[in-house]
Amino acid sequence: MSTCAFRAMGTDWWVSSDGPGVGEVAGWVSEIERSLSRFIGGSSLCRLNADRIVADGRVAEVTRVALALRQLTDGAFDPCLGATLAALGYDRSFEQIGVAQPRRVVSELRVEIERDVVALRGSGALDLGGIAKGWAVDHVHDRLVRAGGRRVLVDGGGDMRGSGAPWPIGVGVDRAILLADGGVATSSAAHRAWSTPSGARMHHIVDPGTGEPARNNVVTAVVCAPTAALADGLATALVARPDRVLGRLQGLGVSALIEDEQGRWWSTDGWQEAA
Amino acid sequence: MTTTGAVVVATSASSGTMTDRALRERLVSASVALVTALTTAASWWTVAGELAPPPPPRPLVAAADPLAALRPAPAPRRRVVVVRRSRAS
Repeated sequence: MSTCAFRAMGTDWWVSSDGPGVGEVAGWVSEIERSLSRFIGGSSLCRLNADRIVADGRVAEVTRVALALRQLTDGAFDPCLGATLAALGYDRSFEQIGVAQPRRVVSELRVEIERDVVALRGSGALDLGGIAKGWAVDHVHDRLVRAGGRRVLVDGGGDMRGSGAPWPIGVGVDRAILLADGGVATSSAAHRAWSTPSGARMHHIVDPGTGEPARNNVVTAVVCAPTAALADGLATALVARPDRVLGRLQGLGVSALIEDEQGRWWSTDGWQEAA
Repeated sequence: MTTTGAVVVATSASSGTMTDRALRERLVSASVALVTALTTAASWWTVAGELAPPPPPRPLVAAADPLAALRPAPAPRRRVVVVRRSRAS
C-alpha cells in the first residue's frame, strides 16, 4: 500500500491504494481545483460567473451532477446560490472571512449546458462547493482503480470513497462505520461559520427557501451513499432542508446519521455501524 | 345551443301552448325571483358580516419535525480503531 497526504481545495487530503498512481493524485486534485474553485481567480467557474459562458468539460460534468441532485432533493441542494452565499459573507476562502456584513441579493439563475459549454442566464452565480469535493474524491478513486488499485481509500477533507476492503471510518462522535464500496460525507452547520459585525452567527449551508443560513433541527448529517459526490450533496441538502430530503433517502440506497440541536443522534433505515 | 333554444321557444309559441305574452310574463317572474333571492342573500351576508365577530385566525400548525420519522441512533457499541474520520470540513 502506498499513501500520500497533501492540502487542496481548502482542506486536507489523504489517499491510499495498493496500485500505482498515488504520487500523481495531488496534481490531479490541483487541476480539478483550478476548474471548480469559486475563489481561485481565473478558474473556469470564476470565468463562467463573470463571462456567463465557459467551455470546460469538467465544469459541465459537475454542473450536470449538481443540477440532477437539485432535482433529486426537491431543491434542497441548489448550486445556483453562489451569489447568495457571497452576499452572506462567504465571498472568499473560508479562512479569510472573519467578520462579514451580509447583504441582500436577488438571484434568478438559469443554467444551460450543451456538451462542454455551460451558460448562465439571469442574475446570480453558480457555486459547486456543495459537491465539488465529493466529485473530486470520486474522480481520484476511479482513476486509481483504473490504474490497477484494488484496495483504495480517498479522503478529501472528510468526504471519502473506498473500495476493495471494509475500511473502518470514524463518524459523528465515537462512532464508526465499515466503508466497503461506496462513499461517506459529513456536513455540519457548526463548521465554516462566521459572524456579522452585530454578532449574528452565519454558516455556509443556505436554506434555498429563505436565502439565509439554514436554521432547523439538524446540525450535522453523515451520509453513506454509492458515491462520495452523492453523499456530499445529500449531506448538505439534509442540513439545508431535512424535510425535503429525508423521505427520499431509502429509495436511493442511502443511509444517514443525523445530530439534532440537542446533540442527540438519529439514524435512518439501513444505517449500520461497525460492530 | 342558443339557436336551438330560440327555435324551440318559437315552435312552442306558435303551437298555441304558450303565448308570447305569457312567456314574457313567466320570464319576468323568474328574473324577479332570481334577483330577489340574490338580493336577500347578499343582504343577509352583509348583515351577518357586520354583526358576527370576525372568524378566528386559523391556528398555526407547527411544522412537523422531520426527524420524528427517524429512530434514535444506537449507542456506540465499542471503540473501533479507524483509519480515517469523516468530518465536516
